[in-house]
Amino acid sequence: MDCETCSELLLDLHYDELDAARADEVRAHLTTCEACSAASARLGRTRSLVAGLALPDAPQPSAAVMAALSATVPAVERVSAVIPIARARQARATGWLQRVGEVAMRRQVAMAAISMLMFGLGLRYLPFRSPTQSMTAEAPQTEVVPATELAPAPVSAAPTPAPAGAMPLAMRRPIPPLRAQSQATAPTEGRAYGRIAAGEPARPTSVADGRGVVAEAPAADDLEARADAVRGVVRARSAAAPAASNSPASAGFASNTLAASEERQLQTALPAEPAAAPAAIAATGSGLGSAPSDRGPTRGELASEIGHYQQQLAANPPPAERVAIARSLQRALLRAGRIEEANRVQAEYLTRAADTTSLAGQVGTSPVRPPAAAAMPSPARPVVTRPARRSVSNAQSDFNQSAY
Amino acid sequence: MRRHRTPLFHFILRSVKNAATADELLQDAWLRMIQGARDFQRASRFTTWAYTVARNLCIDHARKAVHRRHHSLDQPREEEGSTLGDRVPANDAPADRQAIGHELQGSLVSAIDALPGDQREVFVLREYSKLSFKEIADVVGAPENTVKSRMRYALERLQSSLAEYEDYARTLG
Repeated sequence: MDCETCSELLLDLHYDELDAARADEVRAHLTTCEACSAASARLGRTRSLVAGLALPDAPQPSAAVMAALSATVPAVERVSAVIPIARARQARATGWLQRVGEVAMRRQVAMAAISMLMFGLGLRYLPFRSPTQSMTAEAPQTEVVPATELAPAPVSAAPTPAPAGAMPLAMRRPIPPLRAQSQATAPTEGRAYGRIAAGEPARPTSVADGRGVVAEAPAADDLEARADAVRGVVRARSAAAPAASNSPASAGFASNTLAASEERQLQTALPAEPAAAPAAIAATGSGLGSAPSDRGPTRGELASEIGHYQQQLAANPPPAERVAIARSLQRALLRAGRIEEANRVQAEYLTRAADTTSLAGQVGTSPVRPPAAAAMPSPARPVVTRPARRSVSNAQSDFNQSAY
Repeated sequence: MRRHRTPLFHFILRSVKNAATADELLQDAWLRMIQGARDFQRASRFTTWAYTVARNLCIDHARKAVHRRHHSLDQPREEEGSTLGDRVPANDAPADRQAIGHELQGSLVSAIDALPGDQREVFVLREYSKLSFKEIADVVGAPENTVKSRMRYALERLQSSLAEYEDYARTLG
């Protein structure tokens, strides 16, 4: 420490306004610097002298001061009383918050909140509605699907235009294309209500009235959900086919009118949709589906099923059995989304088989289905890969047609 | 009030250099403080606020005194019974060393009163009212370093004024 700094800090040192470390530094400098030490000594002596000054006795407060004081004390007390009031208010506010916090932290409240959250999520994501609600409250979005009309035409059935006048007017109401999607159950299962969620099967009920499916449509914006729903329609129709084929009035109606109308209707429904799920494309194009009323096999199950069919085909079974196995293999491949392989199976086994069974005239061998062939679906119809919008619209129209 | 009464009165007395006036100003200061109790900001220290009130009263009094008729230096003051010339420290050395303590009191008063006003108030506030330099800076409205400088100058002046008591100071020290 230099002398200049020491002289600046000397005053603080004498009046004890230096921290201990700084004071030690100054004292250390004073022990080494004679000039600073002498200045400090002079300052100390001056302070000793001035400290000896006796302070005069102060006069007592005057009567006026005491009167003012006594007059002001209540006001002062009032002022000071404001502080406890404010503190009490603050304490009350704090207590109120604490009470709310205590209530909010109770287990019952937490459980109620969780329940409401789950209920809300369920309303948002679960498409299930009650049958009454589907039939009444959301009539425009529901459609009664006669299960007997869901059946595709048998292979040998000739395409017969459906008599529109044969259906009740209430059932001919157009369906909002994006909303009405359903799955149908077999007539033997009676009446069921469609589920739109991806992979969600229809729930059969015990009411066997021979009617079809009430399809209720949640807001399925997701393309995958639509594709699944379309897949479900195809499955339902495929499942309904054996039973419905016994009904001559409806046989062939659904399948014969699907291809032409489904494209018209769903092309308007999906104006700018990206590529749809291949499974939906294939299922719509081929009219093939899986077993109804199940969630569908998993990938592993599909793979094993495909492998099983491939093994059976590799065993070189008789031609009739080979066609059946190939068809099953094709279905499995379509469900697995393996379109190219399904096309190969189609070309290799089913088309050839169709040729041999003199059905080649009804079925095009080209991978692209001609428009004329669309009106005459057959089991040997080739699997095509079409733009997503067209395919999904096909599926949508497929459902609409089946609803009629 | 009891705690601050004596140092506050001394501060006023050293400012106005008149006991009666100091008494009057002290009473006024009390009244000001009582009336201004509602406006008192508790963020500041009461001591600082009280000395600020007293200082403002002293300044007001000094301003008024300018327009008054000045007392003659030889005219006895009614309140104190002594002339201002008697209270000015004499240059003559005290003859009786036994009475040095009594004389020192007068010399100290005279030396303090002889200080410039800004140095005097800082010195009184620091030495007798025991305010810190920072609090003094708040009272007088000056930077702390300025306060320290004034204090330093005040001590140097006092040192020179009380040079004759050096030996006595050594005996005290």
